[in-house]
Amino acid sequence: MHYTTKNPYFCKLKYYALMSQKENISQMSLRPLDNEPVGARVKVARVQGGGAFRQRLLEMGFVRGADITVIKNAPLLDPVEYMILGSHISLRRVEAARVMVVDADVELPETVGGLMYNGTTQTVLDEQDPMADNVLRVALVGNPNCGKTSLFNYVTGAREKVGNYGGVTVDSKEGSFVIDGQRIELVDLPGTYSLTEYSPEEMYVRTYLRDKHPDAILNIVDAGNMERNLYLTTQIMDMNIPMVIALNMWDEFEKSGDRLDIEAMSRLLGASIIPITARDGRGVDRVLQACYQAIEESEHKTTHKNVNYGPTVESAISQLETLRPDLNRYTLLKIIENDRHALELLDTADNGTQIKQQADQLREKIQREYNDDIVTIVSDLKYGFVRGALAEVLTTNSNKDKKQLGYALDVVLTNRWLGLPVLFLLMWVVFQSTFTLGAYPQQWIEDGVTWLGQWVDSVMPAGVLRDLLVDGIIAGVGGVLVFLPNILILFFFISLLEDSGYMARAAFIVDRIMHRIGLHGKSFIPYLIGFGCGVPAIMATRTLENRRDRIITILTVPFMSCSARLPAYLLLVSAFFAANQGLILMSLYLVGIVVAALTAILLSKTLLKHDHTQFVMELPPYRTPTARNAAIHMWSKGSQYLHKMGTVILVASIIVWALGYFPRHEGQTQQEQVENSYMGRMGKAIEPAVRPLGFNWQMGVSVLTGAAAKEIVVSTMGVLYTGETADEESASLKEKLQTVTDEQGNHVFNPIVAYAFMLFILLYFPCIAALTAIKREAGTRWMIFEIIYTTAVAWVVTFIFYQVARLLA
Amino acid sequence: MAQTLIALFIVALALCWVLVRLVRTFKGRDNGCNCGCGSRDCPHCPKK
Repeated sequence: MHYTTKNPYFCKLKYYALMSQKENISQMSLRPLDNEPVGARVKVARVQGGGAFRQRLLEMGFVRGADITVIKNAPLLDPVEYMILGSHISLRRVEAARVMVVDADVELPETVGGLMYNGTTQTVLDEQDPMADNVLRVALVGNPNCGKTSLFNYVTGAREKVGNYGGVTVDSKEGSFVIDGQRIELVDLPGTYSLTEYSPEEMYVRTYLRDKHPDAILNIVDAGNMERNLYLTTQIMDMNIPMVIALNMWDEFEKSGDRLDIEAMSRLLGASIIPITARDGRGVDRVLQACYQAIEESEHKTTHKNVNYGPTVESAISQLETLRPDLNRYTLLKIIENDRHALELLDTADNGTQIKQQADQLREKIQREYNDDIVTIVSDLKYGFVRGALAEVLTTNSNKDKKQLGYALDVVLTNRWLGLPVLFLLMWVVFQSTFTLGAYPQQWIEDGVTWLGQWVDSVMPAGVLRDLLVDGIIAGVGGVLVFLPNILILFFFISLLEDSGYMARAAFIVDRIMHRIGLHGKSFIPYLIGFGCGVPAIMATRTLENRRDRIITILTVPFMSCSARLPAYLLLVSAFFAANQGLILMSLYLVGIVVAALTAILLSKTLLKHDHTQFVMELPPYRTPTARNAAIHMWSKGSQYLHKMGTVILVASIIVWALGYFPRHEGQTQQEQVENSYMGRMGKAIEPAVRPLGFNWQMGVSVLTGAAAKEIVVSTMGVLYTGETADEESASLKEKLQTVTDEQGNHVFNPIVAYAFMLFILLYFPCIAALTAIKREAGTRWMIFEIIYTTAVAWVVTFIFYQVARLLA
Repeated sequence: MAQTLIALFIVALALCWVLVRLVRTFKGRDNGCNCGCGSRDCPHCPKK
């Protein structure tokens, strides 16, 4: 049918009419989800459009007949939080408009899948002997945020980062454990809703399972959200790899009052099922034993249980199987689904074209029979299998508190009016605590460093080595070491926010802003990680599906002030802004965010033009953060910081000292000596470029050396500002900066210069490690662009600030 | 004199360390893919 009208409203009505006719639903009842009011309960009729995002929605449970409750609008009215299959999902309105719904009480025609547990089929396996291999490998596979890394850390004793939001793990981590004298390698893979290649880290999982073929898969399933989680299980079942299912968060499931017949479910799915609580290790030993047993049994097993999709699809799979008996059912089904990556496997095959033609015919036959598109049919069949199985084994507690305790805090934290103020208040509390709580241990370390310097000075005879130790190593490394407590405190708070589930809410609250600046709401997570360190943040952009989104996020992440810049801020803020420490620090972070936003707008409208990107994110229930995770997080940050002290910062301090010490000239004061040194000459050469920003040559040099690592800005200042007299030498760097004067006797630093210097440190080019990560993830061209762009932005912003502030002062 | 020699030796060591780090950073490990996953056929590696 063809419409000539240009009226979009008319077209829409006609389209709904057509769809209603097809679905056999009353025309008045069918409508898009985006206009539903808060509190509305509706039922999915179908998801419109095509492409990967539609498939993602189907896989997340937006299949016909699924109940949806509209929970709330974000504070800026977009996105909207929906509850589907017991999960809370954040969906932008523009995407929600693709989901067609009807009233909850409307009877929809039965789905293809329905409650179709048709039992399982069996695949005859080739002979294999996994035990012949010295190393047995078990892969951890599951939905995002279902507790894979928590289990991995518990079993292997590793300290990999975990958080109560999806996308924390972006590549594989390997560890091992020993059971019955056999070493088994455990591989932690990124979380994925399905084995469809929607984002790079999902592709990683699929490629890993296909190419590495682990000896067993440990499928982690969130016990509180089995229907959605088991969708992935159906795909794993078809891969013909021995599988054990761990039902995680079993403690929460038991508290909910729901009941599950584990033995029956185990029979239905053809795999061992063990309830566990990964956070405290309950049931973990049993699950490991089950994995080992599954591998041992696979040695003698001749068949593998698969999902039974009913006669039409099963016959199609069998026909393809005769042409390619080497491919597993998962891949064969993907070929029938017209999956690009599965079809690529046929390109090199002799009978590839024949198989593709056969698959096209089979697909058309299935679509004709079920009167729907293949993606919907397969999703329906898989959900039908899962629903059918759960209907037999799961008894839900009808008296359960519908409000869901894990989401009770959302009444305040994502409230329309309170959401944003609470976000800012939390940020302020974190930054202020970093100063106030950190002040005491910081003073102790500072006293210790000063004492050490004086002691070395007094016990060693005067000479070059003593100068290197006192003015180079102790002043340089000690100047940075004093901020260790502040770093630990900051990361303690970040860990609490991550583990509690608040980070995902923060993304929900600011998503509309992200959308406005042309970014994906998921970019918020790399940005948050960027407050810690740019390198993992750049890696975390792998969770973004669209390459342009990834590039924009990678290029803007360095504006999120990383913890390496913190020592410079802490030093200058405590020296020149004693009254408003928390606010000044927060203002710097906000400037970084604003510059990142403006850069993103600029890039998305010029070099990286693109349409809006789809965004669907799960909002996990709030959980009580554990002391163990907070301690692991703090320890990991602390040890990284100390490691840097002993390597990059130590080396940089030595080199900066040498450049500031040589060549020696007899009869010169300390000040003249430094000015005539190699470093001094270098500094004087770049001074014209930094003078308009209010910086002297020492500050210019500090900024340059900061390229190796941002902490070196402080250690360089510690080396360059050595002081003339014994009193000055023993003063802390903070006191030196407060008193240092230029040739005219004016103070070099004042609040305006200090803030300008912090602005420049915040915005100028990232350290070498971050630049390497950019080169790796985005390419050399974008790395060079980043160096030039960030430095230009830093110079212009600092220049404007300094000149305007000086005029107003 | 001894102090000067030791100090210069330490400075030379520091410079060597920087040189090695720079080469490793830009040359990369694992055939140019240094994303850290340790896999030679890492799907994230831009050269792939």
